[in-house]
Amino acid sequence: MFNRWLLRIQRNLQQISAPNSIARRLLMASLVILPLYLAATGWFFARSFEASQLSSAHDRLRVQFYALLGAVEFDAEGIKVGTHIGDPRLRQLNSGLYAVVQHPQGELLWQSPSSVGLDLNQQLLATDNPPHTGVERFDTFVDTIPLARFQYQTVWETDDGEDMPLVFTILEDQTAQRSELRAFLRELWFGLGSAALLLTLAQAIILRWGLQPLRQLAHDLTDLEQGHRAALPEHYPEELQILAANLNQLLQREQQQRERYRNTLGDLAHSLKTPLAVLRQAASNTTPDRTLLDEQIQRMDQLISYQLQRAVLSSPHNLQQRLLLKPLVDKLVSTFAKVYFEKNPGFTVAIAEDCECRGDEADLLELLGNLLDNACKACKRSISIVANNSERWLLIAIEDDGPGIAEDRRAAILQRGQRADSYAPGQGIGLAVAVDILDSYGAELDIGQSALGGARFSIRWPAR
Amino acid sequence: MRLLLVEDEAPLRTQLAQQLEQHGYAVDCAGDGREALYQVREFDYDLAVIDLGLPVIDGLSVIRSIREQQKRFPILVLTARGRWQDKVEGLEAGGDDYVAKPFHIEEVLARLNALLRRSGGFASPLLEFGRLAIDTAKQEVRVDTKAIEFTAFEYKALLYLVHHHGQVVSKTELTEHLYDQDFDRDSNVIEVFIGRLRKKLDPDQTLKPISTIRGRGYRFELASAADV
Repeated sequence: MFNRWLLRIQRNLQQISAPNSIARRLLMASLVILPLYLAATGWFFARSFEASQLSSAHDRLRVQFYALLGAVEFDAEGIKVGTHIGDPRLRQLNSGLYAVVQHPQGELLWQSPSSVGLDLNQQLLATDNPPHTGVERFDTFVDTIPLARFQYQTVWETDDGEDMPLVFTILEDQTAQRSELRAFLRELWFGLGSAALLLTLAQAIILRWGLQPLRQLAHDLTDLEQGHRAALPEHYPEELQILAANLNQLLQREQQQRERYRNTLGDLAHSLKTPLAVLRQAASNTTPDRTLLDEQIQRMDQLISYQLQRAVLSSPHNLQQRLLLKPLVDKLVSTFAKVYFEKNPGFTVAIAEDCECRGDEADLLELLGNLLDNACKACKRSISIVANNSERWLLIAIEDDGPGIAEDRRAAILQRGQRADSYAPGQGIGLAVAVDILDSYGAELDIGQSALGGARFSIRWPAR
Repeated sequence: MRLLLVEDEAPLRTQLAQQLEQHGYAVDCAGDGREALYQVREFDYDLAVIDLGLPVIDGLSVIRSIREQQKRFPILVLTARGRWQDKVEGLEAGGDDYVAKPFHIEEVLARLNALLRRSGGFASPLLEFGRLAIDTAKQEVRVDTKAIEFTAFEYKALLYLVHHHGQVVSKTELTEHLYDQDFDRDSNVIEVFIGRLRKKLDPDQTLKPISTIRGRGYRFELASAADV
């Protein structure tokens, strides 16, 4: 019970982690990636907006500082700042721009009229930590209000020729900038959010549109399965057209194969009728003729082997693998060495180790097996098997030192095998099968005279 | 000769076993691969006939397994599929010859005969030992061109000794390889048969083909013409 429950959860999890739909997969991926991308973009924009705000505040305060510096004068009473120069905001109470000049030890020397209402505490002026001489300091912080601060320490030479260190502090209220930033962020996130929504929507539409051919293909396949159409149409986009064409080819081959099976079965059934009729006749005899029975049984056996061989001949020829010929022939030679142990024919095999042949292993074994079997039967003591690869053909020659085949019989041998019915009982079907295999591969067989004295079977097997 | 017949089709198995027995083989039958491997482990065979299409363990695996056990007796492969691929596979696995179904019993017998000769080291069906000649194809025995009549059992015993010529064959071994499993081993029938064999082959005691090794068994002493 628990196990089953666990299994169900596991299955559900698998479904979640890899949905069984291309559209859903793509959508899910973009639902993960898009927010991440947009968040990163938003963060980057927010940061750069803030940075530019700060840098312009810095510039502004620096300008104020230089203006102030230009307006400072000394007299016996102390520092004076010309009221005609400088930003008017400095003269207006609580304007948001404040300036203070003080001694590094903290003694307040001058403050702008605007800052009168300001609580000039230690934190505000950084009295305990004045900037080094000649070094600008800029920072922002929140006191009661957000503030940007510019500080600079300089040494002023008084009229008495005395050096006097001065710390300038310019403060600016950042409330406006803060709300500007907030407004920007609001707008930014709203914009990005709508972009995300639109993009997702657009992607859903694109996916639907892009995957439409796949749905069409599925639909067409269903039609095909239900027999509403014989082949897939040819209007798919490029990527699917290859698949559709392959499927069509496969279907066609399957069709051909079925056709061949049907024909073979028909042929077989038809050709078995005759010997069966003879057998039935013989069975009604009180003393059946054993030779007759034997003949008919042998004939039926041959018909069956022959037709089955024809039916299983592999047909999809462009799906064939490449085979090494040498090991194949070696296998056959060791088989024949056992079968013809007493005759003990000498085999000479001249095939390069890398000699390749395109075809089905069973077909090649059958073809070469039949030819070699004949050679073993015919030979006196030697058989030679030679193979050579040329660009277009693989040439295989099987020769023996037997009696050979008379010229007038050669053509007849090659033509046999179109129909097994035409065989006389007792005749081997090996050559007929061989001829059939050769035909199905578009290969050629030629029978000639061997230098060894017997027959020479030359095969021209297409190399591609 | 003790022969293991492995075939799953009961009617064919029974018929074939009968025919083989008629031709002098002591036949054990097995209906599937596992049974066959059990028999091979338990008993000592001179020959096996194994069908490739077997239930439980297929024929090819049975043959491979027999060869892995270092059993060297000849194996005749029966195959219903006549394709060379099947024949090649059967012989590659360790078979020594094949017969395709449907077959004539004569063909099976001829092949078995050839395999036995081959395993005994004889190349031709005619076994010659000087004045003695045995035609295994016709089952004829001649001494100095004079044909000698043997009963089926005498012939079997002679052939077993001949196939193991130069080796000591114990009475038990002879019994096991000549009779079916249920034979009463205590009988001294073997001694009687050997005595008759000697009398028929060598009435004037000049040939001395079979010698008795006391306490161990018998040995066929004549040298084969092929060995010389």
